Amino acid sequence: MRRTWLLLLCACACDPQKAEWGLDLIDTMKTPDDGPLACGAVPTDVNAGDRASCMFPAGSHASETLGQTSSGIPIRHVIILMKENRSFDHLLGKLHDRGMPDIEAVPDDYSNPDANGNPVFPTHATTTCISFDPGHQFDSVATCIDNGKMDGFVFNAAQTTTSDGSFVMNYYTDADLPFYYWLATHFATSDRHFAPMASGTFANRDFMMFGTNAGVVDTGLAYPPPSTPSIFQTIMNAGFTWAAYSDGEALSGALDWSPSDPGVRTLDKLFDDLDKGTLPNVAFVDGIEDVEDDHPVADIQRGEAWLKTIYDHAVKSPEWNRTAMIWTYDEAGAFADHVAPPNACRALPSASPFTEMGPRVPLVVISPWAKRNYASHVVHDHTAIVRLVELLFDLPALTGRDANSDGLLDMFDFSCGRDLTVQPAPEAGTGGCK
Amino acid sequence: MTVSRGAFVDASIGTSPAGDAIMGEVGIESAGIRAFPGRRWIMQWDVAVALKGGVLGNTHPYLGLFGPHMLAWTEVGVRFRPNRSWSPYLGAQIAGEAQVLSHPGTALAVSELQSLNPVDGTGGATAHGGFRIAAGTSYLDETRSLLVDVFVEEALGAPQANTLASTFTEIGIAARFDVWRSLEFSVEGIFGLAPTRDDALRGTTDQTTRVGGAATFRKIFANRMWFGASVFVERDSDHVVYTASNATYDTANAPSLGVTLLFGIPLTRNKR
Repeated sequence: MRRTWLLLLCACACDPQKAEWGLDLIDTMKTPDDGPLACGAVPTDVNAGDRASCMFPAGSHASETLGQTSSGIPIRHVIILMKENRSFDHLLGKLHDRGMPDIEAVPDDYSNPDANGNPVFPTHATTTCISFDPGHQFDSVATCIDNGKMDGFVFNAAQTTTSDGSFVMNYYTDADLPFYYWLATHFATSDRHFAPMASGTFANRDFMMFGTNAGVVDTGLAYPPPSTPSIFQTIMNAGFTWAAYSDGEALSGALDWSPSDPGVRTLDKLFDDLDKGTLPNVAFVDGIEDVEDDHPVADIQRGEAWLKTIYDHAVKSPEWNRTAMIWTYDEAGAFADHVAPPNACRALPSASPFTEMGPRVPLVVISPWAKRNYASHVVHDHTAIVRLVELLFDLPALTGRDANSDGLLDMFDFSCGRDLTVQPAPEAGTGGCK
Repeated sequence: MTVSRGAFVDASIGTSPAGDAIMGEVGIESAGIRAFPGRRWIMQWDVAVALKGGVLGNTHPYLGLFGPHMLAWTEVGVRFRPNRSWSPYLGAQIAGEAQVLSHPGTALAVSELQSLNPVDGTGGATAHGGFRIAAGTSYLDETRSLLVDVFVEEALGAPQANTLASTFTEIGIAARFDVWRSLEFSVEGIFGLAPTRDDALRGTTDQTTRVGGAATFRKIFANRMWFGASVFVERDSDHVVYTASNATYDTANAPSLGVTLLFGIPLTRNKR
């Protein structure tokens, strides 16, 4: 009888859809010594044309596609802080007027029609706690993009929430999000970073881990086959380490990993690793869903404070001079952005047919080696983060998408002898959740 | 000897890498086992044509699927000692199954299916086939039959939207017990290996292993109506090798599990 009850308990408690990823070795691997601090100018990019033509296949090394090797780069630790569901215009659209004139401004005439056909222009958000979560999966994002006209955001939000949809035209300023705006103006910010696919969380995050959506289109109940070649595997193949830190769902639930899965750590462990200088080579860091990760309906100032805490530990870390933090968003969450997404390379040899990217999202490189007050206009998506990791640790490209990406190289300055100090950062904003 | 033939309706609940699914179907079926005069030859078969539909939990909201489902298999075996109750047995089986389950509003083209979360294995156009050689023992008397065998089979799967064509060479063990016009019970387990696939671009090889089992129970009533229940479990695992570093990863897909309940009624008059 007791055995029967145990079986019933297991049947209820176990996740029958749980896959096994075969990554157990990561829990016993040691992060290699960082070695001597390297530095040197980034070589002239002579392969940009070939990459734009998608000439490089999966398996290509960055030395072939970027003309750069890791030997002149001091970075040995990458922290990927991927937040949730905010577009560039929505979060950082006022950078142009707040100390970053090179960042493209939102055009004065940019608007979306409401249900009556009246134009809705961008307006300053009156709260940092937006209480609606507009539809932002494949069909919804297609509606938002509207064949490149970028005028379907309000319509989509009205269709998928109980509001009139106008909130997706809201934007924030440095008065609302002083720390976010300080990061974007102090370090290197891209105004041409797109979600890799015009869909939701899982598909876009899968591009960051597999260089492809691996069959997943909409966020929900679909996960990549665990045998899909991944950045986790290629990092480990080369003897380097990674960890996925979160007090919520690791990697925002995209792989259905639980806290007991290999490589999954708590945020306290991240702080400990930063403080002690025991950070793995690549750290994927995610906040608690709808609380710390900026996903609506979270108070975005709470997510800002969460990032500030991580930043404070990072700049005090003994590994700070060997670290690059990439702060970005998985996808725009159907918040308005005025720039039509261009096409990217197919993720061959995976079966993924998708080449249209999603709307722009913020991306800021935070590092003593990041260019300061720099606006990057190089077009890329999350596979550029993958390519940076592949460059640093001499890993082969996972698919044709990351193989032809730029690796964010224009946002760094690895010159020997440059000033690496960073200015004191302001605190996160408060009181915006009215 | 034991035959269920007529219209049926079934309902199933299950899970697979594509997601949880609740499905049902209505159709016609002929299934059974019979020994031919002289008790040397035994034939088993199951042929069904049905309309199938249900929901697949691979996205929010769940994805509706609807379409035809066809199943046909037969095994013909020989009893080498037909005059004895117990006899060595050798059989050959051929099987095929196809279904075309589409989501209303979505065409069955691969490009259309790839704009949905994966439905492979549950929805879309799927086709499987196989050929089996079985060897074992047969018990046969006036009212009962028992077959216990080991088998080797080649199981083939057609490509789907996100899944390559598959070929598994499988070994297994099977047992089937029938009571004349009353009862059928069968179990089987398989272990299969697919050929190693090379991914030259990414420098990997991948070999898939399949482990599975199934059990079926069917009660045939005196009025020839029947009730059935079946369960199955199956899991594919992969051994991935990066040839440059010789690093290996042993992964496993989410298992497939399913339970089906079936009820059938004869469409012809009782000739007993």
